[in-house]
Amino acid sequence: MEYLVLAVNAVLVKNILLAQYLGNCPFMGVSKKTDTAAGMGMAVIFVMTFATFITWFVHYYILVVFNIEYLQTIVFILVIAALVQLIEMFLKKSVPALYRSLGIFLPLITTNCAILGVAVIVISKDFSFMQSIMFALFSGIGFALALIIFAGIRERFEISHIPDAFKDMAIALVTAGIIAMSFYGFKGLDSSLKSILIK
Amino acid sequence: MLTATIFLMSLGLVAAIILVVASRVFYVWEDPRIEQVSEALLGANCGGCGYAGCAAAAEAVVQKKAKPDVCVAGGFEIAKAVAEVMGMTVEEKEPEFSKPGCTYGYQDADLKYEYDGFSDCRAAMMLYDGSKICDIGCIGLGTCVRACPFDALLIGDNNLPVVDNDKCTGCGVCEEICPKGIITLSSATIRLMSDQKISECTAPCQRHCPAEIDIPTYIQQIKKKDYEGALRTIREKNPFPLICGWICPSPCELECRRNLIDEPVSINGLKKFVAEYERKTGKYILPYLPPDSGKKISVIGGGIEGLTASYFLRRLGYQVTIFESTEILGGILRYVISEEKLPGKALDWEIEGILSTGIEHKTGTVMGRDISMKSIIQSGEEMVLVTAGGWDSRQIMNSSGNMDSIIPETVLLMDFLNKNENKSLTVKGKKVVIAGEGNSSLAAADMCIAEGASKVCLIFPFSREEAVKRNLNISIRDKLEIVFSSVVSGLTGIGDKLDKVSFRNEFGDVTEIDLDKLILDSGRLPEMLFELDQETNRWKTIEILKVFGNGNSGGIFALKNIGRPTDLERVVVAVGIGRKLARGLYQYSRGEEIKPEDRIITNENELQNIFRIPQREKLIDHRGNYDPEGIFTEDMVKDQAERCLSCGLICYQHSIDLCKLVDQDSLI
Repeated sequence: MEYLVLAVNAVLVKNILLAQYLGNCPFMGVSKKTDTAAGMGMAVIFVMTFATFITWFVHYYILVVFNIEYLQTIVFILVIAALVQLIEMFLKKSVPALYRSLGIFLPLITTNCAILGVAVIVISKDFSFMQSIMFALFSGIGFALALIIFAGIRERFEISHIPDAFKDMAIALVTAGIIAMSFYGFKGLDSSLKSILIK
Repeated sequence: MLTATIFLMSLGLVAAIILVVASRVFYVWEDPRIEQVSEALLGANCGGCGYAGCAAAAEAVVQKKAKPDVCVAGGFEIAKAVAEVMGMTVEEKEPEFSKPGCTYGYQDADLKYEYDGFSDCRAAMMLYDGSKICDIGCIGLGTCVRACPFDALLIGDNNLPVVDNDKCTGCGVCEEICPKGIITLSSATIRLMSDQKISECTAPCQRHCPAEIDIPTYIQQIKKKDYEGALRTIREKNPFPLICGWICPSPCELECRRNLIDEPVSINGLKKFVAEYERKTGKYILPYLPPDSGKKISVIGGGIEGLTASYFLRRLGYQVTIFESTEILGGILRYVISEEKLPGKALDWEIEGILSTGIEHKTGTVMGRDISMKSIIQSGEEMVLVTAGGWDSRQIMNSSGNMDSIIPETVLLMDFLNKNENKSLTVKGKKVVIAGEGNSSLAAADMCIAEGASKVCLIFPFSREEAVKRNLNISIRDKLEIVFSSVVSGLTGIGDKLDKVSFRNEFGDVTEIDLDKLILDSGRLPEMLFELDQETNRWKTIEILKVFGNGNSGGIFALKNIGRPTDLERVVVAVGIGRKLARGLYQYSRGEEIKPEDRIITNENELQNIFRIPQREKLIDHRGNYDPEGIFTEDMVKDQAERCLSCGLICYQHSIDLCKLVDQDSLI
């Protein structure tokens, strides 16, 4: 039950893209086609979960032990960057099929703030290990969801009359804002769900 | 501070060690050439090559699945760079550009309805195939413009796509995306090789030109005083604008849409003007010539048909040698047409121009006397194209030479019937095959039997019932075998001897029989292509006539009753056939199947057309003022060109500013 609330929270209410505004760079960059958006989404889910898995250990078993939590940001960046490289090599050798579909997206998210953001959030919220992993997984799903919805809308721009001044980035930003507002409608869904479940 | 520095350094070191180890453990060998090839490629990921992006194409090149010139968009420079990486060589190809095939935008064309929906041709197409009445009209919503990866397209003022040839790379993305198939890749070679299709916008005049010249385009060019361009347009389909300008009976003018108003545009007069213009400048306008493909071919017969085929073959990169039996090239035009109608100088000029593209010729060389199949094989040629004409060309040779000499042991029926004890034509003890058509071939069969032929086989292209209907005497005779519903599909021989003939019945089954002599019931020697085998000394025929669109029924002989062009009653017909011969030969030598193109315009197609033009002012031309040789003056040319309605399939110029065109006097 606890995880259900966590899932609703991470995917809809506190959507990493549309409520926390992290990772806007790929949100604008790879949202022109739904299939590339889907590929990117999958890569983010994968890396986000894996990175959080590692950084959680790094935080509690290295930083805390040596009492150097103030180095969190820089250490996480370093760890995530190395990790993504490692995953890329591993996939290329062992799962070439997956590498071909995710490969070009992996370097793109090496230093993405959404990945780092989730890694930092789970620490700051004092989540347990399992909670952290689930939160990262659902945040990734939320990221993919928002990206695919946005790409679907942007594909339609291709066949719509758009005033010249609004073409390309302008209309994309306006649309992103409107989607973010619509996601605002989920606010409070998690707490009401929680209260229903507790009853 | 110190702790942090030491910690980060050690963390970095650990990470580095892990990565180094991982890069060894997970090492995947990649051909370094893939990287090099991708760098050489254009990087536009247009997909014009058929691979998913440049990286995939590079991989295909390295794996030898694709050739170095895989990048259609990159052109020769990039192909050369790729070939360098791969250690291969590439041939230069003629560049291709996109060419929109519609000339009337929706503000000028007749519409079924006003479209106001999604701004995309594919969307508009869903509603009754677009808003234009013309089935093949450009929708003009710019789907191709948005698809172009190189920004080479834009929608012009007339709501039609305009190609910027400097930017166009010929990748073919627009061709793929256009729902109407209107924008296509084009080059002079493609236009040379293609016939008019029902999916193309053609004017009535153009459709009725046996040589398929793009008449509206050249008239527009003449209107803009681009005489050189007009000549180039004509030469894409007809290497003899001057000769045709003098003597063409111009079937195009009969179909000119101006006939619906007053009288036709003098299309041929315009052609004659530009051709004479070239002659006056004294400088030939030569076409793009590709580098030699190294393929050699002999053409037997230096008449218009042979010269046309040679010109187009040269134009496709062949080394051509023409063998002509008389002392001078030009064939029947030299001997039959009077000097007033076609001056010999005009003929000379045009033939010289064709030879100046690098075609060799030997006159006074008779096939069968001076050269033979054997000697041609020994000289290292790979193919022989026979365009020797018929009894009419025999007349200009004063009946010199053996009557059956050109194709070994093959004789025209009329020569056989008139042989008068000619010893070379005796069939005693020989196996004879007659490709027949009527009673005269039966008479020839009787003659052979009477002479003592060991066996006679008569092949009719029609069925037994049809033969009875035609009152043919097909009663059974000794030693005579009659095969119905079959056509001769091949001849083979060794050296100077014909030894096998194969024929195909209506079900496509091929039978091969031995023979010594072949008699053809046609007025002329059909156009034939022989492939020569240097090693075995053997030769065989190729069914080159398939390009005429008669499908499987035709065989190798052009018999008139099955709809084949045989007697070339007009020079322009010979030109048209010459080009198609070159096309079939080109297809064959590239290992493709020789076949007519899909969806070409034939007499059976019903095309959209218009049969009435709403009332408009008449513009009678003043053709009386010819100079003595019948050549237009520049003013007359201007008037004539302005009279052209620039027709498309159903579009035409709806209004023209009359005052600009002619003096008020000539208006009726």
